[in-house]
Amino acid sequence: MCMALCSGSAAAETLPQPEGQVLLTITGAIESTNHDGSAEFDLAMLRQIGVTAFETATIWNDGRQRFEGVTLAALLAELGVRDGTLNAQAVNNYSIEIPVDEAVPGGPLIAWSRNGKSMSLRDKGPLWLVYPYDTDPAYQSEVTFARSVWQLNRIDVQRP
Amino acid sequence: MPPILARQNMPQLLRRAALTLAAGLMVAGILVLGASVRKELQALATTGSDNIEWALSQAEVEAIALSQEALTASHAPDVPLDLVRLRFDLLYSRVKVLEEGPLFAGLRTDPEVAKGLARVETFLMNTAPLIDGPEAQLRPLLTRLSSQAETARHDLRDIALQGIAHFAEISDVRREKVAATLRRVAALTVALVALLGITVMALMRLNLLNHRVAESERQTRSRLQAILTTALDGILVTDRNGVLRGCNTAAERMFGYPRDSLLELSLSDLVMPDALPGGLAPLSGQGLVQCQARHSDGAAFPIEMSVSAAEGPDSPIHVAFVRNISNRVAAEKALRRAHDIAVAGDQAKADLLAVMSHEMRTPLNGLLGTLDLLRREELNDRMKRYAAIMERSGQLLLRHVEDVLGIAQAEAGQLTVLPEPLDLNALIAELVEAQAGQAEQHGNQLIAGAPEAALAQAWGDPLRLRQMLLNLIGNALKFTENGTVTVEAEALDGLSLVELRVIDTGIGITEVNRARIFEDFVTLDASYRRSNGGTGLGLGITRRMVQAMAGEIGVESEPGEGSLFWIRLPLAPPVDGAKEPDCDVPRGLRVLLVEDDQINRFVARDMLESDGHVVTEATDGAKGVAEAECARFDLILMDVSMPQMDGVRATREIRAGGGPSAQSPILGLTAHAQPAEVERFRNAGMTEVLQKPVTQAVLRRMIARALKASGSDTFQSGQVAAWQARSTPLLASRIRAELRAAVGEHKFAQLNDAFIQDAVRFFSAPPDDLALQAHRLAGVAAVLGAQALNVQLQALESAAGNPEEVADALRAARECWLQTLSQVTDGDTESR
Repeated sequence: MCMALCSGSAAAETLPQPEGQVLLTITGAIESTNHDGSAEFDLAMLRQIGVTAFETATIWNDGRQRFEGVTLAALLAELGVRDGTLNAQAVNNYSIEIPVDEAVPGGPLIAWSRNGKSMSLRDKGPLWLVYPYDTDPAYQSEVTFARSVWQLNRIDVQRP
Repeated sequence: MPPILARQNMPQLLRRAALTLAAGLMVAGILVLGASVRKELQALATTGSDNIEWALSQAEVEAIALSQEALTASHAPDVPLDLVRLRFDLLYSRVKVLEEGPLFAGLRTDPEVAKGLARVETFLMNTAPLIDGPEAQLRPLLTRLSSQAETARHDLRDIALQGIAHFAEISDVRREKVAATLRRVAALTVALVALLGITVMALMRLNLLNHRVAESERQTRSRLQAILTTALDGILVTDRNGVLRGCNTAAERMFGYPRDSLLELSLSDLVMPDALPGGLAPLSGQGLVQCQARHSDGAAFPIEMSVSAAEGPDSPIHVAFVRNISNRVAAEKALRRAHDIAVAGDQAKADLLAVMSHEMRTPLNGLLGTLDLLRREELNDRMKRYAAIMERSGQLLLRHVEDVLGIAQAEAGQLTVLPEPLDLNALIAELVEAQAGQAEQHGNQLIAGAPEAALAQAWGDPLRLRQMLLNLIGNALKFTENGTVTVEAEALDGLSLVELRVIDTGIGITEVNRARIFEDFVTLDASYRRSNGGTGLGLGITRRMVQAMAGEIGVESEPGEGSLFWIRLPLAPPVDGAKEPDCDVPRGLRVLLVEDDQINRFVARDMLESDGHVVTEATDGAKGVAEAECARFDLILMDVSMPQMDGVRATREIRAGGGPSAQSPILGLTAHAQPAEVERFRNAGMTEVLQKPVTQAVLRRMIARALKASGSDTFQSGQVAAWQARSTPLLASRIRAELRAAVGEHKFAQLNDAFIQDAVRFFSAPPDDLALQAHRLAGVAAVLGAQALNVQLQALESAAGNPEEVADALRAARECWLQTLSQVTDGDTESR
């Protein structure tokens, strides 16, 4: 936390500094940073980018679930990422590659609440990359399920 | 539809049904296949599962991580327990996935898994408060947490193993399902391919058939085309309106138009329109029709065509085969001209013969008549012998002349046969008796065969029969010496077929001669007495007479042994069996004899006077008319050919003159009694016509008949008309036919109708100017061939002044009109 604050003060950051607990750290080829070449987000900052919600069934829950969060597209736009590959990683070091193309409006969402409740670590939180599986059969593939990273905490953006 | 057709169409219907079924099956197969494959593809494209093995193993991995972290932390009391907490939370979330995820619902039903999960759950539930609690409470329990996590790890491992088996099974089922679908797809594909193969084969077969049909049609068409092109007849095809739709090259040549311009024409441009008022349609199936056609250069030429109808694309078409018959017509014309010339030549010959024989018969008549009279005088034996020789020679000469006349008449088709009741037995007996003397001269015996009773009732022309038999007997006697000539008759089929035979034992006839002896002017050199030979016309005339009597003649002969001439002919009386009444010979009549030839006058007068008649002579027609004006005669004998006024004109004047003898019977005398002439004489008013030379017997019979016909010895005007009308046909079909031909059917019908209306008007209310109207109507009746009515109306006209006679005449005329009307109205039965 101290290092983050120090580096934040040293660099010419464009992003505000997180005030709450940092939920997501984005590194790599990004244009906006707030801490030593990386962008750190707390829940308030994520909310600041834009709140989107959708309902969908998942293979991990019973019945339709309502997710609320920021779309991956909006987040990447905030960071000036237009192409390349994302390496999304979870708290347990699960990692998967996601093409930037995947981040379209109406596409994947970095959700922080399920059915109106924030998600704990024990409950696949605090951030979960979910897709609107019902809207497109293409989202009902193993690739998409594998990209549905729960307990998401890091994204590394790689330029081609 | 008739059953035959239905049966013929059955295979076609079946084939069509099969094809439809196959197509339906294929479509269904494709749909089923498509749906199935689509479903499988979708199932493969989407998945209901995450990476299950990862999820399963990751739970164990987190349990191990927790156990390790707890153990590590238990040995480092200064290090915060954040990592232990993190590991716990991660394990918690992993187990929760197994507990709650719908993916693992199947797995959770396994009792072992359920128990294991329950144990892990219990561990997590019990541990969670510690983890969430203060570090001081947690730290002493880290070692136990580590071993508990280790225990949970074993459970999670077992669950993972169970899961692997479980999902492998699911995977197997699913694979099996895919395999089954693929098998179905394969089977369907095979079936589809087979079906396609069959369809292709069927289509190929159909195609082949179509090719064959098309080829055969092409051949037929090209053959037809060849026929049409090479046909000598022109062929025209027209539609219903007579517009030309097709033609062949012969038609192009015939009408002189190139094909394209021909097809712009209408039938009426080619065939004279008045010939075909209704186009081709009425001619269809009528056989050959002749009419005039027009060439492109305007020349008309005769054609013959036959038309038939055929199915057109939208309306019936007519096909006409047209032949230019110019050459034929020209040839026919030439032939007709040649024929006419030949006939005219023949006619000239016949006329010459007739005139010649007439010119010879008139003096002969005088000669023989005088001889007849001479024999009644007192003659000495020598004179009698001379007279007999003269008479025989005269008779022979007369027969030759008659032979020639007979030929001429036969050639002119004027050989008349007048049948009457006849005793054939008596006729033969009479002939045999009469010829016996001649037979004896050459030592021949002439005998009659046994008489047959039936033959006594025969019906025939005695004159002709006698003539025929005399010719045959004469021939037989000529070629027989010291032999026998037998004359016999036999009813072969009752009187319907009677055979007359003249059999001799003479020299016979060779086969070559047998073929030609019935020809004219044939004389056989082998004749015994060439000097006695005739004109060579005897058998020719006999043959013609036999034919005129609907019979046949033939000869059988063996040279050196004799000949048999036979005649077979019908001699049965007509069905009504009318019999000529016997005549009483009338006597003491006042007779006017009009004859320019002195000898004939002398002969006739003598014959009449010998029967007790009173004769007044007139030497020419005019004098005869004058005599008839002055006195009333019971009978007038009128020579036909006289200088100045001939008998016909004299007769007409006597009848028209209204003198005392105007209604007396008039007997015409002529040497050339051709039937057409006789008709003319009768129309002039002659009652009967006698053929010269006249014998006493004939004269008697004719006088009796003429008087009998009138019903009394004297004539009243009404009666003479009635008698004339009776002897005149109601309708002269020939006159009507000629009129019809001259004015055409339509005009004829109009004339006929007008005549009927006039007559009906006349008879329903006799007009005041009766004589004038009767005269007028008589003229119309004559034109229309109502001859009897014409006669009656003339009588009415002449009776007009006399009220008593008018009533009778009018009644008779009306009666005659009613009979005429009945024939006129069903006029179509008339022969045309």
